[in-house]
Amino acid sequence: MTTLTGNNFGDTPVVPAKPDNYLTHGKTIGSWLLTLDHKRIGIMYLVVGLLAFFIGGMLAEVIRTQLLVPQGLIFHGTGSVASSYAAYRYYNQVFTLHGIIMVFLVLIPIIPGALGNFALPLLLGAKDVAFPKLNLISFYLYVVGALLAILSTVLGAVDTGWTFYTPFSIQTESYVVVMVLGIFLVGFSSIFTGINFMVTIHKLRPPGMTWFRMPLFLWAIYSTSLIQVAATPVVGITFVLLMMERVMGIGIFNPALGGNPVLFQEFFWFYSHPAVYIMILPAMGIVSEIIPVFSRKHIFGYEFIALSSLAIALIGFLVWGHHIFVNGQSAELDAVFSFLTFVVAVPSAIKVWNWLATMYKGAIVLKTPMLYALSFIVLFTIGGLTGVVLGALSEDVVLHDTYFVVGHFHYVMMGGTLIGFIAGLHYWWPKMFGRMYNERIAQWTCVVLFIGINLTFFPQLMVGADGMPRRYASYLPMYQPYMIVSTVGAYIQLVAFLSMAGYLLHSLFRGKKAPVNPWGGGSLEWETSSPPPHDNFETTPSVGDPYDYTDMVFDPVTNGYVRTEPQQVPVAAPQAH
Amino acid sequence: MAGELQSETPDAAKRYGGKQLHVPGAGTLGVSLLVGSLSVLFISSLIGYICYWFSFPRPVTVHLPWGLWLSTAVLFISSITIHWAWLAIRHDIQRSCRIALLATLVMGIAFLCLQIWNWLEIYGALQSADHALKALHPQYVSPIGGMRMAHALIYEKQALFAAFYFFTVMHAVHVFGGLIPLGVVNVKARRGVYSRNYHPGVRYCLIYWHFLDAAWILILITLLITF
Repeated sequence: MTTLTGNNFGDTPVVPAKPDNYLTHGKTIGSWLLTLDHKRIGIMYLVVGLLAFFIGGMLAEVIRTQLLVPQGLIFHGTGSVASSYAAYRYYNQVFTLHGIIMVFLVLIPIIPGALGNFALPLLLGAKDVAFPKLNLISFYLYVVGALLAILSTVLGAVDTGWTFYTPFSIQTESYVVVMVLGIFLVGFSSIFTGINFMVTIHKLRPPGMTWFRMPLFLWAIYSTSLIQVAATPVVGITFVLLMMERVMGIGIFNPALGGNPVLFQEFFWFYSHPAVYIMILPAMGIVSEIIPVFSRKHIFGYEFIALSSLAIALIGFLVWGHHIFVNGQSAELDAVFSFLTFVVAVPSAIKVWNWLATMYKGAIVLKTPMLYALSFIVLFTIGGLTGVVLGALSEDVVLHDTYFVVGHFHYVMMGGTLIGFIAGLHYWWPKMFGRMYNERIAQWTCVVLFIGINLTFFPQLMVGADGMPRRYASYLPMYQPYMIVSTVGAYIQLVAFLSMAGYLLHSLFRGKKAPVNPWGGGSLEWETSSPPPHDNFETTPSVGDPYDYTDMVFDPVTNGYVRTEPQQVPVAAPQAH
Repeated sequence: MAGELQSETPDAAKRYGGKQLHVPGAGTLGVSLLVGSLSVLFISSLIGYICYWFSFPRPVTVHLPWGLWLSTAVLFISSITIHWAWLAIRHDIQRSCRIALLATLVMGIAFLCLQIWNWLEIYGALQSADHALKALHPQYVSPIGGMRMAHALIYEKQALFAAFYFFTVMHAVHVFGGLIPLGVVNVKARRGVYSRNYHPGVRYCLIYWHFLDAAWILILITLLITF
């Protein structure tokens, strides 16, 4: 879609100018920092989120290096018990920061913030989200929250674990209040993003796109937003109470003042368990987009995938008690929460079966996004099934606070959310920057990352089943073989991520120009140029079935896919114009 | 149609990539979702407080200041006036709408003043409890004036003080947050921006103000039961 510009003086030939796109639309720094364009805000989220991921990832490497030897390789005392304790406190700070940064600054905001912002209006064929200014405010709340978190680290790094359990979070000398305030602001950002996306999906769907003709990523983002809007206020109030407890000593969570520390856990997990679904649902949405495109086959069980997202969001609100099984909850409540925890596995499994059924007899193309989507299915299934193991009461009593739990949620968070995010990043990268990355290197990187993740986290499941507690800076020598394998896996992951950073950055400058539709996707974002113009679409695109790949052929000239004839607009839909 | 965008004129396009979106009904839905989100905030903290109260029942020795009834009445009236403003603008009665909006603003400010008075009243009660304690135990060091209320609370067994402050301050913060857009809407109404067919600001304030009223009634009932 080249725009032709030229002057009007008689015979002067019309010179085709370089087409304007959102990346070149404004060139000043101000045009980026104060932009109201959803695509640019998405890119800014991406940059900040990846920066946070780099810091969190480096902290993870520190943790793994520390655990290479039983006494601890980095933080260890000079022999006396007191010096060991003093040194191990740094370890507590490192894993706390790793957890906080990864959960609140990477996993929760990065898919809705970066990929959601970039892709959501494009998938809708819209010009922008419903409230562009609110979108920018969300981004800056996120940045200010992240800066406060870093400030608290400079002042005195928090050593409570990312869960801030009372009463330790009241007693510790570290800067809990500043850190919690930062997360409070990130929570605001999350609520505003959720409201924005929900209103956008309600009000900006183009004519003809009914709820059940939306791309599945939008269903996933909608369900996520529902959780963001309804659950985040609870963690806000929890953190306000925690701050009041620390500053004024109101005595609601502090047992020394007659408070109830388990109440803090109830409050905290009422948000933080649904937050797990804030993290995983958008990743599932991305996988639901990628699997049919690279199987060249219509998605199987559209309604089931769509509604299972909503089901996960709703049931996800009712399972928080499984974090408190061994912390003094009554046996009756334990049984109810255990049952509900099993129930929430059902819609997740529905998704996995539908993805498999989509691939069945499809013409599978193992391009990088598809490799990541397949990795997601494998890793998420391991993570999900170990979650069911932990949901069983008798097993949880044994495995609670062991490395089994660490292995489980890293399979879900790293193997699920993060791999889903990387899949989406590779899928939309040509659309985002108009460049193709080196496919061969990207494929090998995916294989290396897959191996690295399994080497890191599978030994953690085994060592946890053997009884090694989590959060310990030192351990018994019998666990060392597992720990060495795990650390080697972490280093392999580091190599994979460095390679990824290398080829993605390389593609920005030297990559081949991306065609309009490099993968043969059927949803609306593939109908505009790569990268899209400032207003997203030159003409309002017509809405069809987003998973219809008939009449779509590969065009070797542009290296992309084109439709041989316009897509049939579904009969019941009003005609788009 | 819901999904339709109004076409933009090039000169109207804003400087930093603004696209002049006009989405009918988006604002109302957005404000409703925000109010839904805030309702979760209030309801969850009330539930948390009730759980806490049940597990640690305390003897009642303080009474709620009677000024609470006054502030309740003021807030209730402000809820009526904002509704009046909305009805007026729907019938295009500009003058009536302006008066009602101004009355709502004044009532909102009056409510905050009354709440400050109530906080001082409760603080006075806390202080006299502290004095009584000092008379009983000469070695007792008063924590009042410093930031740590907890000692007074544990001696007097009155975590209720903290709950009272927590809920009323949290509500007052939301009233204060609402006064700012209400002021903007007042100014816009004076400039004659709103009409029978276009009055989104009045509508958003209406939704928000009714929410503040409902939240306050829930808080008041909870405080009345637990004190």
